[in-house]
Amino acid sequence: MTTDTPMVAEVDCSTGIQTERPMTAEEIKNWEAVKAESAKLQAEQEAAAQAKADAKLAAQAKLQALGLTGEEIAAITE
Amino acid sequence: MAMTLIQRIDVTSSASANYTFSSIPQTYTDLLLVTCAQGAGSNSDGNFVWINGISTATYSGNMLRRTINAGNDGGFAGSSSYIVPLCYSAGQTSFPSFAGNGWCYFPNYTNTNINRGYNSIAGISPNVSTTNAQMIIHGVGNTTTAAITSILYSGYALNLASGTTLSLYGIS
Repeated sequence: MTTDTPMVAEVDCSTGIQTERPMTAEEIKNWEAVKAESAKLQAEQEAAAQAKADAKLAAQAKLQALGLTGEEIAAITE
Repeated sequence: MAMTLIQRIDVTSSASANYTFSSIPQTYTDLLLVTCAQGAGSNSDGNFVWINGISTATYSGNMLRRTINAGNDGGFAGSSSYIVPLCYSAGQTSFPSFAGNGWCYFPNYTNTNINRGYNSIAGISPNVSTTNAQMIIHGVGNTTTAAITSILYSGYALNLASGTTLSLYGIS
């Protein structure tokens, strides 16, 4: 066991005894897959949110150019 | 209704990211996992639960999230392995005085006629203007019909910090 191996602490609910073991190779593989996918999805969500925010700002600027006041813009966009 | 503490894990060192309740008694109607967790690092995004040692891509999830800056607000569908049911961000470094709190409810966990499903509510609000103050409602399903005999709670990319508590209750 190396210090880099992710550990799992396990509590047996029938005895209350806690033990610790290294993750199995399959667990590590799937854990890494979850982390990679999570990071990818989070990046996608953040990019989508940023694109939406950018589009909203652009739309608000266009409405302002049409002569709407800030209060009027807020009334129809928020 | 009666609520019985089955086991409580008090994390006393920051040596592990993953904690498992095993040999869960089959004598209750529902299970409730209550977490008060910090990650031993800057952020602890995406803490998740695996049941019965199932770590394969057999899960599905849907999440409704509200963040303090509204930048990441909205509903999100998780993929088959993207499980984020509990306390999204509670990194000890970024938020030394705050933990991410969450409840995860496992109804009818011994009924082998239906797929396993569970729901969670989680939140953290360190009162700072970052995306890490947020509230999440999450629904998760797995294709197994087996009764839940073990629950693994993972700190995702970070070990869980000392002071974290995980409490498993039986509801009857």
